[in-house]
Amino acid sequence: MAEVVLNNVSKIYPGGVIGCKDINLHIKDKEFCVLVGPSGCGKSTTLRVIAGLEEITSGELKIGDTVVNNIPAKDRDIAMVFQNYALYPHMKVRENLAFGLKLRKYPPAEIEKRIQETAKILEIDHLLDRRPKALSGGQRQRVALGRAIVRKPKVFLFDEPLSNLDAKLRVQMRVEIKKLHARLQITSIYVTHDQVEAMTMGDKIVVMKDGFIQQIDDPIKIYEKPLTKFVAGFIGSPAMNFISVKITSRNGNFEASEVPSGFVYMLKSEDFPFLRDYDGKEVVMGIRPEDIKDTIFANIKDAENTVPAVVEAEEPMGSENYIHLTTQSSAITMKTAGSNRVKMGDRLNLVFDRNKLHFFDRETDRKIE
Amino acid sequence: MIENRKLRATVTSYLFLAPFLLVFLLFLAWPVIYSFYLSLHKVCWSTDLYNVFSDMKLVWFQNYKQLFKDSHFWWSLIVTAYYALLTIPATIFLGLMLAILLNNKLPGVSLFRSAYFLPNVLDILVVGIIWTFIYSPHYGILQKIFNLLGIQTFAREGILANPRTALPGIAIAMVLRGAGFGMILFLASIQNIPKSVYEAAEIDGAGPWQKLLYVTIPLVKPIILFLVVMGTIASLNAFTEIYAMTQDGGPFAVHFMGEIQGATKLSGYYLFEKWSQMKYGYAAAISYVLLAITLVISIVNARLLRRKQ
Repeated sequence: MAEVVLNNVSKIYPGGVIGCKDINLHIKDKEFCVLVGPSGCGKSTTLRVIAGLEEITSGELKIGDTVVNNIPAKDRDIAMVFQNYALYPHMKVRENLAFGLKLRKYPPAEIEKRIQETAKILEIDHLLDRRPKALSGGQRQRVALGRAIVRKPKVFLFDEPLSNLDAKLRVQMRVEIKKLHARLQITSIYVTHDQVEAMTMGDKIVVMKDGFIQQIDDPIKIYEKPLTKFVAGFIGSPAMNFISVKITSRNGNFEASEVPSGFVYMLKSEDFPFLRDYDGKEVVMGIRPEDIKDTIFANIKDAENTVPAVVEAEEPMGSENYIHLTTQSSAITMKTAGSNRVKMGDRLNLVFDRNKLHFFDRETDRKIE
Repeated sequence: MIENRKLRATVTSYLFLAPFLLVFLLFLAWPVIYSFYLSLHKVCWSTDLYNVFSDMKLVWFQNYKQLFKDSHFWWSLIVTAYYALLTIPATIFLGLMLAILLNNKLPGVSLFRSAYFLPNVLDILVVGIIWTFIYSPHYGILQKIFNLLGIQTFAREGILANPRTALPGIAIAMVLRGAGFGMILFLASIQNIPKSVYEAAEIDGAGPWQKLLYVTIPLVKPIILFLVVMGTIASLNAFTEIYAMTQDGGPFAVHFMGEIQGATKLSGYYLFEKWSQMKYGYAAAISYVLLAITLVISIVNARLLRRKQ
């Protein structure tokens, strides 16, 4: 059991290509931390740096109380699950599980005991004498997990372990990994590009972009209080709507006028005092699809502050319906109950939940608050 | 209608195959069958030099019986086994090491890859002659290096005229020629092993040596088995290198079964010798025994491979 601490860790490849830069991260003992971001954001590089598969260019990495910058991967007491499973194809499942223990010279009786324990936990005891190619994708992933847990390492590292599985199996394995973590209580670092995986699995989420950390928080805070426009857009499905508006002070309140032309939305100055500095300037207004209502579906009478929009398309999901609309200058997606059906060309009057509005600086993309 | 179309397709297929089949039947299938027929006969060239097959006599398995009593034949098999032992492990080891080295991102890798493979493109006879020059005690570069080092062991008769060093000398030349072929096969096989498997091994606690032993070698085993079989067949058929580098099956080595035997008289060369003495029936019998040995080795290898898979 150990905490993992990264102090100003950077990995710069030859030619100045940034793998990850100035990573400051404190993962507590027994915590499940998820690194999430799009391709090339540096999440896998950060994980590989922690694993010891990439050398650190600068900064300090600690696992437990030890600085491990110069300690090779094999001596860091970590285990890793790879996206493509990386099982030894010539070894049976039993040998795959035993390999790490044999190299560490565990007595045969102890190795067998651990294999049996692990196989029981992962329900792979009937597969022990098979080779990897005789297993299905899900079974291979279980063996890969088994190979990691059989060693009882200080830290588990997962590099997009569910990406090669089909959607149904992915959901199933997601729950299993969570259960496994709850049972084993080992510090885990999990890399994924899938924000649903990140939200459902992590105690702590680290959102990354272009090699830099954008935000570190628990899943709900990341969702409700994104610090940047990137985080707001990356976390949540369908993604947050962004509308360019110009803030104008009027009668002690603010008007948010759609840019270049379109609706005008009234904002009370006591609710948004921070907009005072942006009087006369353009900002990005963000609203999540589920925080948009329609006057008819939500049965809102005498709504004053509405945004007129035309239906472009709908995506009925059964339990909910995603409606894609356009205002005069922006595209908006709203999420409503599955029974609320619309037709292309329908005109709706949208009502935004004022408490759920987000504003971002156009220049810095940072949240205005 | 359908049957007509099928027939036409079959005829077309055979027409496309015909040029190869013709060459195959004429130059491969027929000689194979005829040489077995020949191995059951005694061919006497003394009656008519211009038609040696005119009065050959059917002796059934007499040639084979004689072969099993022939000390030169048994010696040739022993020397062949020795030659196989000298060349096969060394070729495989060198090929594997070169492949591992060239699998790294080193500057000029493709140049080295071509350079190591190049000798394999050259004919064995050419390589043999080049090495005869290298080994020459009078003007060879090797002896010049030995002179600088003060080594005079091979100064008088040279490596290829010494019964102890003649076959190892040929083996070294052939290992250096053949390692490039193994290297290419190993390299292709190693490059197919996912990088993540090595990374998983590293995290599991394996160092470079253990990764080689427990990951690389087991995963290139089919190539090793293939090279063992190809090497064995090449040893049984080895003729050109012996012909190019030594005279009449090499310097005399030992007394074996009451006769003095040549140090480099491999089975392939012995077959040639019998053929050049116009003992066609006997030579055909030798070739069939060698074929049987090759078949046994190939079958054992196929079984081993199948079990692995």
